Amino acid sequence: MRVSTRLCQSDMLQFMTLLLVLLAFSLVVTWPTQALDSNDSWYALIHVEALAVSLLALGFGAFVSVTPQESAPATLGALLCFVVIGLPLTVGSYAASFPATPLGWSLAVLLLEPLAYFGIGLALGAAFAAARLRFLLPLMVPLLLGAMMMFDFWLGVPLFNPILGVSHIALSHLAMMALLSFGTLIYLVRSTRSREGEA
Amino acid sequence: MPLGSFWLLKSGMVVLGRGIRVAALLLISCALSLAAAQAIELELGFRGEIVAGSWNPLTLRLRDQPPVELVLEFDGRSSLRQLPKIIRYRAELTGGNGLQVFEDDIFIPVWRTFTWRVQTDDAVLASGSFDRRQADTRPVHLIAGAPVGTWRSLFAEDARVVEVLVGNLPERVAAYSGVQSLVLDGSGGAPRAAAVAAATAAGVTTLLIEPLSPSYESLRALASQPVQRLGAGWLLRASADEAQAALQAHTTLPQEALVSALLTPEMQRGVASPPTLFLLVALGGYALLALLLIRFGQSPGLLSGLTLALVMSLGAWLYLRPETTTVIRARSLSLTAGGLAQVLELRTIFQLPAETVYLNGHAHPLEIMPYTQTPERLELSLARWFQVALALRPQLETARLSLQGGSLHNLSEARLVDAFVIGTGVQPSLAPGASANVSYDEQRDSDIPEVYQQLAAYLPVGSALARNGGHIYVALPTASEESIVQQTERKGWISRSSRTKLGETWTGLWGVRDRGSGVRKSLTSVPWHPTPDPRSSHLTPHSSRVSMP
Repeated sequence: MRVSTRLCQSDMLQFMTLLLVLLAFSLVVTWPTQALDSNDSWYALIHVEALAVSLLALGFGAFVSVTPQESAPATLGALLCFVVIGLPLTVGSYAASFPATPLGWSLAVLLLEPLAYFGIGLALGAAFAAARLRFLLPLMVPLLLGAMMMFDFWLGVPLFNPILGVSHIALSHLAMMALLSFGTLIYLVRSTRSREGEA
Repeated sequence: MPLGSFWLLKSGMVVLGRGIRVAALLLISCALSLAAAQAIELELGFRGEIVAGSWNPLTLRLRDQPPVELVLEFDGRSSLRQLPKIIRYRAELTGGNGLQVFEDDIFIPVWRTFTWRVQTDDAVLASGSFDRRQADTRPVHLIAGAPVGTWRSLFAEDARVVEVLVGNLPERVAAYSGVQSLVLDGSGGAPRAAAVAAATAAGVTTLLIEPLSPSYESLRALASQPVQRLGAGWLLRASADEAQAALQAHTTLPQEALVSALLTPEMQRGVASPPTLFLLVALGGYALLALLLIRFGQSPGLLSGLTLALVMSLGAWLYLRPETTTVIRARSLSLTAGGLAQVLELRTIFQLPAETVYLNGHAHPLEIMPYTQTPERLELSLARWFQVALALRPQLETARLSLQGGSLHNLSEARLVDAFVIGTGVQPSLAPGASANVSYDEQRDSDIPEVYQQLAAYLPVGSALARNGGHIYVALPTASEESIVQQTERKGWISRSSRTKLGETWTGLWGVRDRGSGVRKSLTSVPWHPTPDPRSSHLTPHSSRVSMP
């Protein structure tokens, strides 16, 4: 399945629309109205975007187990397109806010997080499918994300927290996301080749 | 001698020898330390009297020292509950053989801790500290040449009176920021005219007590009249009996308040962001277009949507990113009289990204915050979206605006606009090199321009203001001009005055028309000093509206 075809599907379009609305809302609400007010819109927007994209990636990865396997790469590609479509808002708010975090860092983390969380979602979905507990997936997706964030707080090192990782330079988070993304890509390539081999 | 005794004696001699050697080493090191300390001498303020919250002269004397660094550190926080606000002054000195004197004027805040040290890369050669109780903000009164006790009675009991050597008076305006008055009685030799001019222009009330010695000839030329303004201060000549009254009658201008008055809302204006509605419309249009392209365009639509996103990102960056990330605004105030002017300048910095900002020259933030000052520049670490107001070190320059003989003179090379005389009203603009009589015109409102409103509260009546952009020039009135304008402040209209000559004194009968009833009534006669041309007056006889006390 192509990425464009996957994006045209109603669930993807709806989530993309929802994401754009969320980003626009967070931008407009935090936009300064007085000249002396500091523009902190980027902080609100990037945190909302990171959390939303990570949650979507985790959810779509988990539910790939209930959909045909060949949609997994297309779904991942569509999720990455979410990030690109939201780029004008991200870049525009960054230009007006002057945060200390480099823009390149935030964009790199924003692109790695869907990859990483998609892989975690795949693992979650496969595990719950094997345990015949797919009905718990809608509950487990947000719970797992919350648990990973709490784990970071307990550990004192940012590893999985998408909010902290996107707005602060945290090499540990980047390394973890890169590792998980690499693992996800390896898994998808292998599974695609094995399906092609079977076909 | 028995062997045991021999060894005892030998060991005793060894111990004694060692003790002598240790003592000798100690003595030598003490002597070296003392010599090093004497070779490094730091003096702050006048004879060690520091005025906290003001600019103070600094003198460092080095004798036969290697390259060193002078470091002064202040903790400017007002309460222990606050984090330390460390202010540093650093000066790299080359050192060398012989005597080297380093002088500068530095701003010393009200400190909680104040330490200084002269150090090399390896060691601290000299150091010291000042107790928190020495942080005194009261200005000092200088008595040059004579012992303090001679003229101590001129000042209040709790006044800070310091005796200084005539030859040690600095010729820098900023050094006198914390000085209120300077008394010279002719003893101890004549000071340099430049030092007296610098002190007076800095806002000091300089009093020459007569009779002056013949060595004061150069100062007689400077102080041609008994009472005159020079720059922001007064230069007075009086006898010993009149000295106290003269000092009390001529007070200094509140320079801190004047600098703060330059901080108008326009100076504190931030960076405006595009309106929210425009943002909403732009976002909505983009989102709709992108979604339609993706929904109906298949692969080409997706590619178009992604390309649109990249193009919109670039457009958003170019539109929303300000051209300058550090917005600096400046406003200066030039207090002018007698051909000299003291320039006070205020700058505001609106910093968008967190950055360390470097500014040439000396300045201090109006609100205490950490910074580092060197002889060349100021270093400020500013947080994101932070605004700071800086007061620059006072400077001396020649007058650009003067008020003489009832006329305003533009001595600058730029057009001066918004001319206004406190107590009389709006005046015409002045072209470069032009002059104009100070006029009272009932058609011109006496409403003071907004840019001067805060300043006018601290300036004497009769002061003339004009500006060229952000440079405000104030020509201070003489004592006679000030008193005349004060006495003629009445509600109503001043009609043409009639002047009659009574002996050597000109008097004026001011006719005042009450605004309500329209009845004209006369005031008591107002004397003023003879002018070269009796027919000209600093007050051109027009009808004008003035205010009732």
